[in-house]
Amino acid sequence: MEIPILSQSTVFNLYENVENNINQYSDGFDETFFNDNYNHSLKNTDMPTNLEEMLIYDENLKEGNLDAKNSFIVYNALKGLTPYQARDGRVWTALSHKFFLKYTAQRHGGKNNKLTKEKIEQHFFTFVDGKRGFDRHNVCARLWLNGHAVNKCSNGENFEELLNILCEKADFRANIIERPGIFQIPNVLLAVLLTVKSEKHKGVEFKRELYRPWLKYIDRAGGQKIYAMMEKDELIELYNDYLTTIKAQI
Amino acid sequence: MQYNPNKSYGYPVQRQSLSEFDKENADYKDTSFDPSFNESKSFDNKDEMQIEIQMFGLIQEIKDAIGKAQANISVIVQCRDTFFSQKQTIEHKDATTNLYQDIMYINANNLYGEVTIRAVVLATKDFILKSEKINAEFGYKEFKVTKDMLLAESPTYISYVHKEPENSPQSIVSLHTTPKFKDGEYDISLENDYIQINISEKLNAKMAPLKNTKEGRELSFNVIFVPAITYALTQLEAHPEYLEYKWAQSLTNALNDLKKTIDVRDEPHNQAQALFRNTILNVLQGEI
Repeated sequence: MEIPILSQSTVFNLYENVENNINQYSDGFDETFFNDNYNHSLKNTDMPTNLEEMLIYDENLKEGNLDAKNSFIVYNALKGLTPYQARDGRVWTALSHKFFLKYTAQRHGGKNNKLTKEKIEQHFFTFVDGKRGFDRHNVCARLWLNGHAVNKCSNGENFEELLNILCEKADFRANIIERPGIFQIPNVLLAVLLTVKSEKHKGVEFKRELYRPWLKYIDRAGGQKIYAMMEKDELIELYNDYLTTIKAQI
Repeated sequence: MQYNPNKSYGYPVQRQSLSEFDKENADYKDTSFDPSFNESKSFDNKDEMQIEIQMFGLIQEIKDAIGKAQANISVIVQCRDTFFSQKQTIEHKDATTNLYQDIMYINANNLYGEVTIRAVVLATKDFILKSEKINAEFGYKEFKVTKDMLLAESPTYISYVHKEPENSPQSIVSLHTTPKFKDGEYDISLENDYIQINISEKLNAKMAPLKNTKEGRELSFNVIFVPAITYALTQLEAHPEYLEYKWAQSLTNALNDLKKTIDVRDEPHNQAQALFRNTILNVLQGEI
């Protein structure tokens, strides 16, 4: 099937009626809802009709690992979706309401898997917190964006492994995806992920106290370097030097 | 010279200097590196953004270094929303030419909203750069350049990429019926990508048939869309932070394009009329 898109007025209606529809978010929307509202789709796209079943719901996985696995699935499933289309909230609202009810409850519903009005507004739409509505909150958009960012830079490296490094710690991911700045430069993101990978292989635990000042250092040094013009290997060497400096300070 | 520890390189870098004060205090005195980026977007046949680049204002010594292949000019295009970054080095086969120009083609499907464009000149090998224009505060008139050093950087030019047809500003407006209003009451929300006009059910019932005829559409432009866009442009003027939203970027694009062909007055109500091709005349003069 082609990737669905809702009309803007349907999105507004849904957003305004979250409280009235709150049971549907746990029990599911009926056929009439889909027949009435899912009448448009994005041309030249393709996606599996059973995306909901393809998602992983393993409760034993940590949230970050669950995100990584589902980012892989969602990014590969939404074929032909362009980055331009991916900034259209109507697409994500359509996908979230059709395929992500169960997943949202599990991933964002807390211990009871319960979706409150606020949670629904955050995770089924893209309105909350400006750009973070896409980058952080929408249950589906955030997964796709992880895949998109890593795919753009992976350049022959193991896509799934890099995705896992990006997603493993929510705060690490947030520092990169939600405040892209220099990290939108493919070689920069790749160099960061490969440096973390190499540290992990050495047995170094990449804690918040380490990666926060390190990422900040990289960002600040970016004001005096033209990262966009630098090669991957140069950046890896540079970021390793920065990491050594940070390690010596903490 | 003003020193910014996060932006200064500790050696002369040529930048844009707009005012006399800036020129006096520039790393290279009385100069301004001021490239021109003319972008156009074509979404009809191929989704493509074209950026025509012309390099103005580089000092002769840096131009000479480029001519001798000691340095390169590159253009960097980035888009935050789509995690996009692309660089292109400008060809400079003719070392005697004073004006470097090139065209950059980008698939517009990879861009959305704010796109930044800037030019940089980087050294490709070690050499000595000598210039009488180097600000006396450096205390030297020549310095050793090493590979990869930044020699010049332009200001960042901002463009907006949206595919909404620029000749139909109503496409950025969404009408929404709400029971909280009666009769002709409505309000306008600007806190989303689309301008949302909340109208009463009665008003919606009157508006709905208008879209079926040309006369009806012109009438609807005048009674609801032009006032809404006027309001939006007024708010945008007062709160530039709205430029984060698609409606503000689309209207800015449409007005900039319009201004290339006709004079548009600065008042929001006149801008709104211009965006709708003076729809007020179409209704009042019976041209439809």
